[in-house]
Amino acid sequence: MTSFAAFYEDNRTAAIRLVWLLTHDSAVAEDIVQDAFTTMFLRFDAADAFGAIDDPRAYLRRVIVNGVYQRTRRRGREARRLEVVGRAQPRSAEDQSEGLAGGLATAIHRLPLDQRTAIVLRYWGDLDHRAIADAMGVRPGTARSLLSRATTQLRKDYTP
Amino acid sequence: MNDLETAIRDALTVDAALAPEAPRAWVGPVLRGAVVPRRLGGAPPSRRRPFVIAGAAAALAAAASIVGVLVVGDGSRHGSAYAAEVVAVAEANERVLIRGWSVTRADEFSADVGEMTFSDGNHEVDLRWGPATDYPDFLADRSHPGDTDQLGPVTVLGRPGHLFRYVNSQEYTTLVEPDGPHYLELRGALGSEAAYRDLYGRLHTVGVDTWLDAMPASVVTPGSRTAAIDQMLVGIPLPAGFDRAALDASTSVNDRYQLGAKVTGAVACGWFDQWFTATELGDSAAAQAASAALVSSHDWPILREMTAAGEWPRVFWMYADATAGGGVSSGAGLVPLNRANVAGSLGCPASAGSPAPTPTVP
Repeated sequence: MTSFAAFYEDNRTAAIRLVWLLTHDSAVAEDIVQDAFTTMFLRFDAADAFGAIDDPRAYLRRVIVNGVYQRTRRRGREARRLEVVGRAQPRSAEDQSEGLAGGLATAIHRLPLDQRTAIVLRYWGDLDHRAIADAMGVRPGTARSLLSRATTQLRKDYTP
Repeated sequence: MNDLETAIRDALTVDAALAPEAPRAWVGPVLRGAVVPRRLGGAPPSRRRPFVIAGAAAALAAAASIVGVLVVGDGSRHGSAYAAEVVAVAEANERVLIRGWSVTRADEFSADVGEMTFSDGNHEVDLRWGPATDYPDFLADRSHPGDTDQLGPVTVLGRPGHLFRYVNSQEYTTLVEPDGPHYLELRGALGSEAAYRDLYGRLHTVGVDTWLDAMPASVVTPGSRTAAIDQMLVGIPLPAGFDRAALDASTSVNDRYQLGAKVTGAVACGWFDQWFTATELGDSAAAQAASAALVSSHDWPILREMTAAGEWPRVFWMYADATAGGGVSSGAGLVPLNRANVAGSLGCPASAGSPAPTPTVP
């Protein structure tokens, strides 16, 4: 049986990269990953039930995606408040990404969150429609639709 | 895979390499702030968002709690069964109830802001209100593209409002424009839009006594607060210098679970302070006494009662046991306790003379 500590060790890097790809915010990524593992720890490990989860990685993905949705909504409001008082949002992460990963990474980051999530899970997480849907809490058809809309948008931004 | 898909994969691979590094070792739940994590252990992951968002949370924390003045008392100038202070707060509120639904939760609230949860036995909805000046921010937040579908204008309690559905969910929320000092928000997932809209017709404004009478029994009133704390403290060893008066005077809790967290947290903070100080000074007898008191918390009736309502006892016991076990068990080893983590998790005040927080992650 995999211990929770081993599960953390095996998945910590992938977890924080997933949140990074969805948020481009280091502090948020660290917070969400900590919260996600804490949620799983409190729910399962303390009850000695961790080994009973069929697919802990799938569970973790869903907790993380849910956390990103929660945080993004809150931060959206905070960011708008900052704009009101004339403080620009830091863009260093996006600028970094622009330089190293090219305009396509930026274009992905500018997609609506649900489309971005679907794209990241599909092409970085290598998940099929059903697993994407499970992570996002939607139907497979919805996941397929989100991917279709996202790739249509990205095709406009992509110059081979 | 076509060129675009390959390019997307390559771009994401490079982008992912820019992510920060995750902490190397699992150190257990380090809960930030004086959070009472009562909802962590209940439902499986859902799309439900926290109702109180940034800003409102601070306002809630700063607000004088109505439960601080909820006392059956003097008849007051209104002839109410409640004290004049609570009548004044109630009068300034929206005092909205839902026919056929009961109030199951009432967070601390003031004349400016508050939140209640209603249940019909099968579903829950949250009703919150806040100052009219916050309405534009909330409207912008709820209207954010990608988060919600805007389902158009509605009329609620005779006031104009806006109905939203969170994307990919059956969760709806309605913002009702201010008509005076407050806006309203009604949020819940009832299985369908029709079922949710049915709530509009059930909302009604009531009088002060009717509204206060609808508060759940779990609300601890000042009239019963001292007795409730006395009862919670039965069987609990108290640390030296335990400030019972401060606990009695607090107005920052509202129901039995949260009061229990306050009471047991205050006791634990004293014992942990003794344990850390004794450990730092090499006073093993004092450290062992503090540890024994903390470990005895497994038998504290209030913590055992609270296990059904949330995660506070489990987190409490994890730290308490760590004083006897050499640290927090990570499954791959023990991580020593430090003041910062304990204070952050249990809500202890910054202790004078505490050493600087040390990182828990090697």
